[in-house]
Amino acid sequence: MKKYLLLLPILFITGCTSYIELNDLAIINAIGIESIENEYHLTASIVDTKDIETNDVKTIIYETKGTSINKIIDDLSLTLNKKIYISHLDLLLINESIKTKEFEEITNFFLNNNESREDFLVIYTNDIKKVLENTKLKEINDLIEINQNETSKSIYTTMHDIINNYYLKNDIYLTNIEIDDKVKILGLKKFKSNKYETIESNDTLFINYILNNIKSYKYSLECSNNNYLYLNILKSNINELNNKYLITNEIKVISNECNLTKDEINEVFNNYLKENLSRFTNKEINIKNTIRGLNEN
Amino acid sequence: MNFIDELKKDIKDTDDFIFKEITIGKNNITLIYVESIASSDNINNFILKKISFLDKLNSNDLTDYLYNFLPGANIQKLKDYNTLKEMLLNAFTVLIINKENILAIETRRDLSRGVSEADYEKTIVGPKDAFIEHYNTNLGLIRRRIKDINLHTKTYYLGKYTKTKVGIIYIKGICKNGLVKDIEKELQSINIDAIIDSNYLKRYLNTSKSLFPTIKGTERPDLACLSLLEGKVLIITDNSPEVLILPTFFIDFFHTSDDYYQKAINISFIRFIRLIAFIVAIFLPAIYIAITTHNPDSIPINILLSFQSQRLTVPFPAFVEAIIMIVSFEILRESDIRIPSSMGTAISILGGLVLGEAAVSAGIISPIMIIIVAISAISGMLMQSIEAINSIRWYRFTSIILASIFGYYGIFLGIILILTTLSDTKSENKDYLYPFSPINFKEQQDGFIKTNIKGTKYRNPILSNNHIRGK
Repeated sequence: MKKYLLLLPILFITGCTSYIELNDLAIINAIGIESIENEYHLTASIVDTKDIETNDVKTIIYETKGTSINKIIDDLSLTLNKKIYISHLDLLLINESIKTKEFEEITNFFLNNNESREDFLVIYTNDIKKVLENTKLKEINDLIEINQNETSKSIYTTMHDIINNYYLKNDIYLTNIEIDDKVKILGLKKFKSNKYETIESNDTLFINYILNNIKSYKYSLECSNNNYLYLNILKSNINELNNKYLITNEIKVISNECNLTKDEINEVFNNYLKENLSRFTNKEINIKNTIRGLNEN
Repeated sequence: MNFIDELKKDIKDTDDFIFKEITIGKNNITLIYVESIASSDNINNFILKKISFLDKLNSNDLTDYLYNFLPGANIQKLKDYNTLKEMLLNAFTVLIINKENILAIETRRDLSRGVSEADYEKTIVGPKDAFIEHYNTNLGLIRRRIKDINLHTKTYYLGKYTKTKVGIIYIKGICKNGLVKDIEKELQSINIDAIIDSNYLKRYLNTSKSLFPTIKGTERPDLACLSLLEGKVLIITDNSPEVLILPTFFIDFFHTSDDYYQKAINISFIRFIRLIAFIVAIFLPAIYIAITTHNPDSIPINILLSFQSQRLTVPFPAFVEAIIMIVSFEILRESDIRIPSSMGTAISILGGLVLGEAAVSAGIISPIMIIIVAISAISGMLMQSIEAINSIRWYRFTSIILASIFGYYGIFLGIILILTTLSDTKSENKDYLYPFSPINFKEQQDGFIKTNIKGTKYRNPILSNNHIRGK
């Protein structure tokens, strides 16, 4: 009997306090935070469970404002008859108003909140409310993810990345989107020294090179009149050593209409990379390519 | 008082005891038999017909003459009244000659059904015959497969009133002596009014408190033989179609006899499926309850929203909903077993409609809960032993209660509870979780993974000293 009594305390380590019925939860799937006149304005997208039977996730937008993130999240419950549930937050939208002080507050909130995770996407937009009202969360997530993986023209920045970069005092890169008829990627926003810099969509690729985020992309060059060289960069890796970058690329030649040799392709592609990367870094760049799919005979 | 008067006094008004007086010259023969168990045809053909010729003979010693010339393999001379009663009740016909000498001739009526197909241990390939309620037929089904002089039997008559024939069957040279002696000792210590079925013996032979069964019953002679050849002991009980296999390990409930008749790779896959089904049967409702009440963050939002929308109209907490469904299923299952098969279809339709469509339409139960309980119940049915199915039921309830109070933490407590219970369980003093705990790598060849017959070269070392098969 004594051994069972010894086991008894483990039953009280956790348990009933976390009990909540599923239908008593207000699941927040996206929020937008902006700072206006020293007040945080929160736009939250809460899943409306009543419309899910049609297999279509519909959301309701709620807005609050206050002096701290904790307070405005709590204030959301004033208009809801459910418990605010932030564990399934998938998207955070911010705009130019979020600077160092606000980043401090936001990162603190997510670090200290034991309900929330840190793997959700953070993006920059000037149309916070419009984006939340008019687009589906999955569309935005897929847009950013597919573009990072296939074209390297976006960066999938998570809250975890932001926390790391913020406390390591690194630059923070966020994908910049706008909504017209549809959501569109404009490029990147780089947060450095308490201000945002704009990086054009075409230059996102080189930022991804420097951040070692390249998964795959396609490169084309008009090598002579109406003749093109098409390359598919399958894999890329960057190593930084002694103020030097060593970039290794695995390249598949898709089309070689100018009949360039392997060395010529190497040269053309290396020049293209060096020229563009040098705009974003002053480190020495060495490039090593593995070229496949070229019949030199 | 002579035997006849004493017997008449004992049986009082019992009307299936037949007495027939026959006088042959100076000799007087009383023929006694029990009509309900003895065969009248046998008595007419092999006793009365022979006796009717006796008046032409002049035999001085009628008892010896009848003993030698009555056609019957099992004919005995009796001395005392108690044996006489016992013989009568075992379907012998007793001849009392001149109120002194007694002869008993076996005239048993065949009350058992013929050998038929296995009922609950179905297999696709392999033999189809199954044990029946007749001791000798069951033993014969085993002897037909194992034609070896080392197949030994030890017989006991248990039950004060039933005197049921119970036999221990083992192969000398494969089975360890200690195991047989232990089982003998346990059988000898049984003091009970009646052994109606082999399951009575399970209660006496099983000393473990575990909910999991530590003795497996089988109706398949091929599985029984496989167990004998592994070094296990069988217990055959007269009037029971179920033969007990001792000792039984946890892994035995994941094996079927046709596992040994098919390609090893397919069987390894099926055993893996059985293991998953076992886990699903116990924990699936508990996991669902943990997700909906404590840990909604552990699944993707789309599934969570699907659960949420399905539960919108349900007035009960998930725990109550699960209990309602599981109890309803148990009621349906029990009624399906008990009612005559002619009404089975009606009950199935009614149960299916009530539990399925109507309960969802009425908003009492969510569709997802029906799916969860149905998958869990079907998974539990993969076990062929009813006792294993019942033990799963208890652990399912326990894990549901733990999950509803503690969430995933409760489920892990349930897993620890099951593992410690299984580790603590013994079957005939052998570790129930063998060959996993204590681990034996050689024995993994027929654990959850099955190697082909050529690969299973060794016998289980804790069951047999004769380690190498075929030697």
